[in-house]
Parts: sequence; structure tokens; C-alpha cells
Amino acid sequence: MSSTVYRPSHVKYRREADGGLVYDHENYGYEDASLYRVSDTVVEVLEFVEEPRPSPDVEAEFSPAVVDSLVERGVLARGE
Amino acid sequence: MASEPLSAPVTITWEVTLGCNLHCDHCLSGSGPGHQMPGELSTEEAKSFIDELDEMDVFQVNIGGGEPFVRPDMLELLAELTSRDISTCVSTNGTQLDEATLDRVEAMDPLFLQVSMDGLRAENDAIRGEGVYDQVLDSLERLEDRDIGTTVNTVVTRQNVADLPDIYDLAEAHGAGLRLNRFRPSGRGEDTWDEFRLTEDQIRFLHGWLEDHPDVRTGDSFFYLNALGEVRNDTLKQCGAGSLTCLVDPVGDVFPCAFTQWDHLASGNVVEDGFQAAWDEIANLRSQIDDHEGCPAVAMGSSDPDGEDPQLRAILSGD
Repeated sequence: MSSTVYRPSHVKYRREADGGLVYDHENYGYEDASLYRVSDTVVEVLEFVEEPRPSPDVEAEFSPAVVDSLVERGVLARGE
Repeated sequence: MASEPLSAPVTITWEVTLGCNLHCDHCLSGSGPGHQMPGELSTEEAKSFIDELDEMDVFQVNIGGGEPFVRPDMLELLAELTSRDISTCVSTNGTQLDEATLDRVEAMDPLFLQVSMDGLRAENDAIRGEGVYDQVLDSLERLEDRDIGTTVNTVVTRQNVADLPDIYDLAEAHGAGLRLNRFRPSGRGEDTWDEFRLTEDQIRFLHGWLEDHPDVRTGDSFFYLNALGEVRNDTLKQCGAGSLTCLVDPVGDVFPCAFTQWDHLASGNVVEDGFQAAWDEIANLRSQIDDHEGCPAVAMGSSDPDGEDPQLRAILSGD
């Protein structure tokens, strides 16, 4: 059974006129969050996995490298 | 950080009331018992505002006041925010957290509390009121028992800066983080600026102490959200007021930040104009504060309103 890719609940995102924003409240401290400006591609990936998707589907739509990179940064997570 | 103005703030501070059971000498909003503003947002107006925040994809709402929990509908509004998965941070004086309130708070997610403590017992009670320190300690213990994520917030003043190491230990002993806020000349802070602001030696001590304590947060959402994980030493040069964040006051008027609530910097009202319109307008005000290096609120509230943040110079250049 292949793994799925999903957006952790502490990660939020928003499309902007120029790319998008990713807000990461991973540490869950008071007002203690990280904000990243991201490309259109990252926003598209996040929109694609609005519901958890099988990894092969996401990697086929974008690329394994993009998915690995976003997992490494904590923007995406893998699950069963 | 963005080349184009953002479609919405990343985070907002929402002062839900100017009513408070305490009357602190340095209160940034001049709150106190019976200080509620005429026309503070009704429950329905507040819920409508929350609906717009959700539509605009605002990530985080920081609730302040006044004391938020003196609003009879506060728990109802917090439930409305958290049910929409908006990260909700509540700044409280810690004296209104009875067990029934904590029962409700404990069930909400994502919700985080910040409890104010402005020194150890003597200094805290001198500025916040007799007996408040012990009430806050009691609240911290009960919050720890319930495993509710809590941060101790200290507005650093001339009188309490020497207490910071002990406050740090006290917060840690209760499983809480420590977060420091700058004392600014706004609200009653305008009247007490010269009494409470740090001396240059104290600023240098604070700067060094922070470098030795990287887990201490330095407050003010724009310091964090502009930092992108970069070193904190640079954050005093950054300001997200009106670009990443803004302030909504109890009647719904919108300003760049909590410390710039001056009429000429108001950009609209969330009820009369809608929050989106007020936010879009705020970009036009940004040019009025961009010229102030450091914290514009400190610069504009100081003796030279056209100058730079005078405390920034002491930190960065050692002048």
C-alpha cells in the first residue's frame, strides 16, 4: 500500500498576487509561528492535497523532487 | 517581504474591549474598570467580523484588550474563531480564569493563552495591583495541571528588567514559555514613558540576556512573522504594521498596530466599511510610518515624532 501525502493541520497557506504564503504554527507557541513566501507551484501542490492523496499521484502531477522538498521543509507530511 | 501588498493580513490583533478589572500603570490601551468604549462590537457584529476574517484567510488572531474575559461573550467568540481553524491567541491578565472558563478553553483548538506578569511580586503588584501576582501564579498552576499551552508575557520596564532571570525560571517551572514585549509610549504608557522606559544600560543588558536565552520570545507578531526564521538580532529593524498585521480596536476601527492607534492612522471600520476595505486602505497609510527606522510607534510617540526609534539606536549602534 503506497503512502499518502497531506498538509499537516498546523500548516496554512494562501494564494497571493505574487505566489503565496505558508504559515507554519508547528511549535504552537503564543504568536510563535513561521511565515514563508512560496512560489505558485507550492500553492498548487497544497491545493492538490487539500484531501490526502497517494504519493504516486502527487509525484506524477508535480515531481518526486518537489514532494520530497516540501516534506523535508514540513510543509507536507507523509502518512499511510 | 512581499512585492505587492498582501491580500489580507497574516495575523491581526483584536482588542475586544477596553474594559478590564485591573488598571495597570503602563497599559498600552488605557484600559480599566468601566472603561468599555461606547459602541464596542456586539456579539453579532463580532461574529460577522470573524466570518470576514475567515473568508480573507487570516491565519492568526491575537485577542487582547482590556481583559478579554470580562466580555460576557468571549468564550462564544473564541469558539467561533477556533471552529474555523483560525489560530487564536488570547492575552489575559490571568485573574479571570475560573474552572468553568478553563473547561471551555481546554476544549478549544487551536487556542493559546498568554498571561501577563510584569515582574516578581513586588514589581508586578506595584504596576498591576495588589495581590495580582499570587492570582497569576495560581492560574499558571491550574493551566499547567490542564496542560493548556501558556506563555508568560512581560512588558520589560526599568523596574522589572532585573527580574527577568527569575521570571524565566518561574515560567519554565510551570511549563510555560516566556515572551517579552517592549514598553511603548501608547495608552497610559504615554504618561509613564519616562518612568518605565529602559535606560541605555538596561537595553544593552536586555539585548545580551536575550542572546543568551534564544528560547525567549520577543513578542510582537511582526517581529516573528517578518523574521522568516532569521536571527532575532535583526528583528528590531523590521516592522509588519500595516503590511503583515494590523490592529482592530473594540469598536472595529483598524490601525497599523496596537501601538499606533492615532486618528490619522485609522484606515476604516470593520462594520461600516468591512475589514477587506479597511485592509486595502491601510497600504496607503504604510508610507507614513515607513520612514521610521525601528519601531515606528516608539519613534512617533517619543519626543521627536519625526525621528527614529531612539531605543533602536542604543541597541544597534551603542550611541
